Amino acid sequence: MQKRNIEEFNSFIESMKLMDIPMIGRKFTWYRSNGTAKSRLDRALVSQEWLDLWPESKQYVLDRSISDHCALVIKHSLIDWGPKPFRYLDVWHTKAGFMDKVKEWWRNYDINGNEIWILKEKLKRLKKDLKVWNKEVFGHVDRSKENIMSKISELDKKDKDNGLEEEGRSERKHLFAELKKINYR
Amino acid sequence: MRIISFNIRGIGGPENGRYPRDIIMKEEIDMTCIQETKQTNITDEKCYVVWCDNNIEQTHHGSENGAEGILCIWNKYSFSLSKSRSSKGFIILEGKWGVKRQPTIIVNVYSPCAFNEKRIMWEYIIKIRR
Repeated sequence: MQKRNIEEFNSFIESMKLMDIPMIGRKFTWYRSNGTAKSRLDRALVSQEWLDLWPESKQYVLDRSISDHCALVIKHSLIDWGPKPFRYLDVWHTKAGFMDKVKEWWRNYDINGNEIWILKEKLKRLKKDLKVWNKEVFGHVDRSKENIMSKISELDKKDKDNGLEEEGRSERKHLFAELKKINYR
Repeated sequence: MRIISFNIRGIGGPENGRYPRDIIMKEEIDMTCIQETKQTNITDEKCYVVWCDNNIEQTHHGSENGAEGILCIWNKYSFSLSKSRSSKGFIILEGKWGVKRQPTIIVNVYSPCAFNEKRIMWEYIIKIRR
């Protein structure tokens, strides 16, 4: 019976023209809690058209958590967007002396070579300095993120213990929107 | 295209929602396929526990005996649904993907254990593929 089962499943995969994609992380997706058995019960299968569209799709088997099954994350290879852009935040201007600081940095970069090379290297160093400075001055972004996350955990706990009222649910939703904004900054 | 597929073993408690939620956020997931919700009905409120976002849509097939139950939640800006079909053990979503509106079919399967039921499901899915 088991054998027929496998055969029929394979012929299903074949007639669907589906393909198994590489597994990353683990070989098995299900573990009996006492550890006596494990199996690959979960899988992602894709078509050729899928692979043409999303080349090198892979399934990442995550660590076990709340279930005896592992979660699968199906992703395709990341597209190389080329060099990272020079990021500049308007909010920097709200800090007194910001422009003078940039001018000072710019003047003091000591680089030899032709003009294009000098410009490129100066921008590179400026980027680095700005990154450090941004963290020093606007580093509170991380703190507010932590703050939001701990509020969400609190609401989750309440939800678990007594259930959440409409108000609590909408607050949690609002907090998530805030968190998202920060993450995309 | 980023998908998470997860046999959650019950979607009831918020602690079970938090786990996929964190991954969905971290991995910037577009589509979530959940198996074994153990719920007969999934309200939008319940979805927000798993995926806290205003831009989600869902389709589910309820559990009939307290076990089973499958659910798909997706970001409506990533995937726009044209047609969904579901039965015991699977949900088929047909729609357009992304800004290029690429025709895409996603099938979330929680396979029945009984061989004859498996067979019915396979045949049904094959028919749709044709």
